[in-house]
Formats: sequence, structure tokens, C-alpha cells
Amino acid sequence: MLKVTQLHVRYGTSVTALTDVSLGVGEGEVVAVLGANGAGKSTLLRALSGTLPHHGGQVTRGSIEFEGRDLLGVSPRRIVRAGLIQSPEGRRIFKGLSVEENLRVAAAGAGIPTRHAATVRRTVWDLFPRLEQRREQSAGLLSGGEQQMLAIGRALMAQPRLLLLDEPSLGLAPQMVDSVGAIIEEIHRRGTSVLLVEQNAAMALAVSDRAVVLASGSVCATGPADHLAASDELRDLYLGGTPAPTLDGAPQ
Amino acid sequence: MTTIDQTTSRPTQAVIRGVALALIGVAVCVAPLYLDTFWLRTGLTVASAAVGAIGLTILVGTTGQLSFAHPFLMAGAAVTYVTLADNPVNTAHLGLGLPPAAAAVLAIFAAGALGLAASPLASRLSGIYLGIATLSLVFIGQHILENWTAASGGFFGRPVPPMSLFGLSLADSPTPPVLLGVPLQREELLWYLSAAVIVVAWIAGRNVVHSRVGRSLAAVRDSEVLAATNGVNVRSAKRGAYIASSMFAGAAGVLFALTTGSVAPETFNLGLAISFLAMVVVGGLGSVAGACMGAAFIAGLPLLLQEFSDQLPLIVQTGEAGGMQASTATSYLAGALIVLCMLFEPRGLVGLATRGRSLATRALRRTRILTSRATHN
Ligand SMILES: Nc1ncnc2c1ncn2[C@@H]1O[C@H](COP(=O)(O)OP(=O)(O)OP(=O)(O)O)[C@@H](O)[C@H]1O
Ligand SMILES: [Mg+2]
Repeated sequence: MLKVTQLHVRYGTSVTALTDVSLGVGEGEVVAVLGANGAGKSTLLRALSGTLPHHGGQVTRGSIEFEGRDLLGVSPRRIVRAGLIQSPEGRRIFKGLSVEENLRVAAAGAGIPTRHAATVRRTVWDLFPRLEQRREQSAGLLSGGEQQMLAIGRALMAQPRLLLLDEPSLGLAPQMVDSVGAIIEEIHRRGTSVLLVEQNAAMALAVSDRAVVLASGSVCATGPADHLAASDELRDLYLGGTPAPTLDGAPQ
Repeated sequence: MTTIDQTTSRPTQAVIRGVALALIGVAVCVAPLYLDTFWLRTGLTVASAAVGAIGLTILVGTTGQLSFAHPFLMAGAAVTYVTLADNPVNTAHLGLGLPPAAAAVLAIFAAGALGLAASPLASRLSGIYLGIATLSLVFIGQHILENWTAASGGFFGRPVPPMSLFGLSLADSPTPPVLLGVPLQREELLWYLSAAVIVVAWIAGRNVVHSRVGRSLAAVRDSEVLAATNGVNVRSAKRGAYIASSMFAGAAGVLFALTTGSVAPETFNLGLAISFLAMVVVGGLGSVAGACMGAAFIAGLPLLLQEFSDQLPLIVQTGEAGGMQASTATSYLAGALIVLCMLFEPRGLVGLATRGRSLATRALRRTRILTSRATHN
């Protein structure tokens, strides 16, 4: 359903963040994107969700196709309405709004009719009962884990067919990491494809069908998740065995 | 015990609110029958300020956009109203002779159009940067109006044709309509008009703040990037907020013109812009009720101090020596209140009101628990 071909991304005029990245997500698949800090994982998601311009970045070459539609140059709003939404890195929630208002904003942004939005909200409450208990509370007062749940729940309000998750396990206790994994599996079971960016390779590979490893802005390994989980190659990459390939202009 | 109290408190609150609203409604309706002209004029001034402040609190409080352009927009609407409504035959100025009600509606849309014209600023800039950019509008507006005397009347201003609704002219007349034995002259009639406008502005304002639109604006205030990621069209949200706020300013401008009976470009200056900001800050950012309270305080106080200067220490009539003028005293009081707000109650007057209310309900609940315990024992 998603096909990225030879994508090049630059921030400003000098920082090349992605070089020649190609990957795909099939209908009903969970695909993990792994890579060290600064490898370009978040950049990839921003390119897909159309929010690169908000970060001073731009796609300089390549193409992004989602369900047969070209997404290059399309506004984030259109992309959300086409069924692709990003849950950004770092528990980004609207801190000044209540928990419920966070969900309502997302429904409005995605153009979900008000009546239907209540039903969708019900499904989100079912997935995250803790959030329902705190629905009136200001979102900024939630714990880190709850904020992460809210960020995911908010993305689900758009009823996406492809969900982009950027490091959902960031800063969570090991037990919470497992429950994030369980939630991703549940979202997947309900029929949403997921592109999952993670530092926690074990969790990511456990829940995904395939994985793509980025290093310094380009794809350095790709394959079935269980295959990669067993490979020495990935372990080396994560433990700093093989030096990551460097590219012209790519940040070190 | 406490659980029962909590379940009963909601309907009780609704009843209390309903009764309070009804009382306020009755009070507003009968007030002009008892109050003298001074109090009516004060009420009218506060009303027009409140309508403008509601518009500004949507912009500043909900969207996080700072704007000084309120006087510019008010002036635009006021001059548009006067020009459209004035009878071309017996005016020395530009006049089109439209029915005043139509002129008023068009004037509000004219303010909206000015807001639209300024909205490229509003959709690209945020916060303080927008504030500085809109500052220039005040000066541009004043400059244009001072020179375009045919429309504005120049330095001396021009008289405002009275509003007329359903064949009833809201002006002094030898044969005024009579309500409960009280003749309704200009101030009384304008009082009812202002009350109606406030109700409309209040409902519209609350709807903007508590609707999808309002939540999108609040999302933009929190984080533009995040709002965009969630499908909110950031630019059009900011533009829409600016235009809506401009139309409130327009309504305030028309009411202001009707109340004062003459418009002069001089009135719509930077000081007025700052007063509006003070209103929304003192009242409590983003709250419609707060905007009205802030307007009552900032716009009403100087009139009261002026009126009662002989009974108040330190305050003197304009032009007298040996004390402080009412407007100066208001500036000091408002300044002090803003500082106190920032330090102790950032939610402003409306925050104080909620605190008072929760104290009262808690006290009520406690006495109820005590009395029920007493009856049990
Ligand atoms: N807004 C920006 N402006 C300029 N350069 C940026 C910007 N955002 C990211 N970069 C650069 O692009 C490269 C890729 O960053 P990106 O955020 O995509 O990495 P990441 O893989 O998500 O890392 P992490 O795991 O730390 O989140 C980095 O070298 C970073 O410095
Ligand atoms: Mg990242």
C-alpha cells in the first residue's frame, strides 16, 4: 500500500538526511524501521506525513506512493485524510488541552463527522482504559507512559489505514514497552498497517513482519523480522561492530 | 455520604445557574427603567468593550495570537456604518442613506474584510511578532481616517446616525415608546440593543471556543507542527480566527459609535488597543465570561471614578489640580491588577470567580454533611 522509491531528503541547503531510501509496506503489514540516533528514521516519517516543510526539510528526489496516489507535495491535511497519519516522536500531545480534547482535535483534523467521532473515541477508550479515566484531565499532567498512549490514541482517531509510529517505547519502563508492543499488535489485528520506528529492536522485531535498517540516511539491511532478529549483522550494527556506511554530505 | 453529595451537586448546579441567568436577564431588562443616564452610558460603554474583548480573547487566549489591531478594525466598522447609514441629503460628509440596520451588518462584514486583508500577516506570523506587525495597522488606520475627512469627518469627527430597527429609531424623540410608564429614550433603547448584541456575541464566542474550530485553534496555539500533523490546516485556522475576531471588533465599533454619538479617528488609538489587551488579561485569557468582566473593569472603572471623584480620596475631575485624574487612577489600578493576576491568578477575574464558587460549594457541602450528621445522631 505504501511504496517509497529512491527518496532523497535535505534539511536547509546542506544537511542531507536521507539518500536513496526505498521501502514498501504491504496491506496488513507491520514494518519496523531500525537505526541508530540520527540515522534518519524520523525524517523518513516526516517525509511520508508531509510535515518535512514544517521542520525546514524537503524531498529533493524520489517518489512516495500511497495506495496508488502520489504523496509528494501533498499537504499533511490531505495525507491524513487519505488514511496515513504520523504519531510523532517524543510523546507529542497538546498539553494545553484535556485528554478528550486531544482526541477531538484529531477527529476534526481528519474530517471525521462528529457523530461518527464519538464511536471512534469509544474504540480508543477501549484500547486505553486509563485514558478514559482521565478524559477531563489536562493532557500535560499525564505520566510519560499515558502521554505516549494518548499520542497513539490521537493518531487512531483519524482511522488511518497506515499508522506511522515514531519511537513509541521512548523512555518507558520495560513493562510498559511490552504493553506498547501488545497495543501495536492489537492495532494491527484491527486492520491497520503500521510503520514502526524503534530503538528497541527486540520489541520492534517481535511485533513486525519485516524490518528495514537505516544507517546514516540510507538502507543498510532489510528482510523478514525473524530473520533479522537472528542475524549477527543487526547485532553488530547495534553494538557498533561494523562501521555504518557513510555518504557524501550525510551527517556523522 | 460524599458520593451522594457529588451526584446531587450537578443538577443543583444547573438549577443555580438557570436561576442566576434568569435573575440577570430580568435585572438587565428592568435596569433602564430605574437607572439614570450616567449608569446607562456606563453600561453601554462596557457593552461595546465587552463585545470587542470577546473577539480578542478568541484570538489571544484561544489561538495564542497577539493583536493590537482592534482600534483599527473598530474604526473601520464605525466609519463604514456612519458612511453607509448617513442621509446623503443633509450631511456634509459622504453618505449613502442605507437603512441603519443594513449599514451595521455591512460594517461588521467590512471589519471582517479588513481582517481578511490583514490575515496574510496573521497566518504567517505568530505571537508577539504578529502583535508588532498589527501595531502598524493602528497608525495606518488613523492616518488614513484623519486625511479622508469626507468619510471620517477628520479631526472633529462626524455625528453618527441613530440605529433604527423595525421602524423604531433608537434616538431621543418627543413621542418615545413607553414601558411600564417609563419613556424609553436613546440610552434606554440602546441599552436593550447592546444587551441583545452581547447575548449574541457571548453565544457566538462560546461556540467558537468550545467547538471543533476552537479546539483546532487551541491545538495550533499548543504546537503548529503537531496540529498540522493531525490534519489541522494551520494557516486557515489562524486566518479564520483573525477574521472572526475582526468581526467582533467591528460589532464593537458600531456599538461604540452608536453609544458615543460621534466618531473621531483620534479615539481609535494605541491606548485603546492596550486597554483591550488589559481587558482579556485581567478577565482571564481565553474565557468569554472573563472578557466581559475585564471589559467591565477596564472600560467601566474610569467612568465611575470620574463620576464619584468628589467622594473619593485622591481622585479629581479632569482639569483640576491636587489629585489624580480618573483615567490615570484606572491605569494604575489596571496595571496593579495585571501584575497581581500574573503572580497569583493567571486565569484572571474568571479564575477568582471559579475559586469563589468552588469555595462556596465546598462550604455548602460541608454544612450539608454536618446537618445530616446532626440529624442522624
Ligand atoms: N529540522 C532539522 N533541521 C536540520 N537537520 C535536521 C533536522 N531534523 C533532523 N536533522 C538531521 O537529520 C539527521 C536525521 O535525523 P532524524 O531525526 O531523522 O534521526 P532519527 O533516526 O530519527 O534519530 P533518533 O533516533 O535520535 O530520533 C540528523 O543528522 C539530524 O541532525
Ligand atoms: Mg527520531
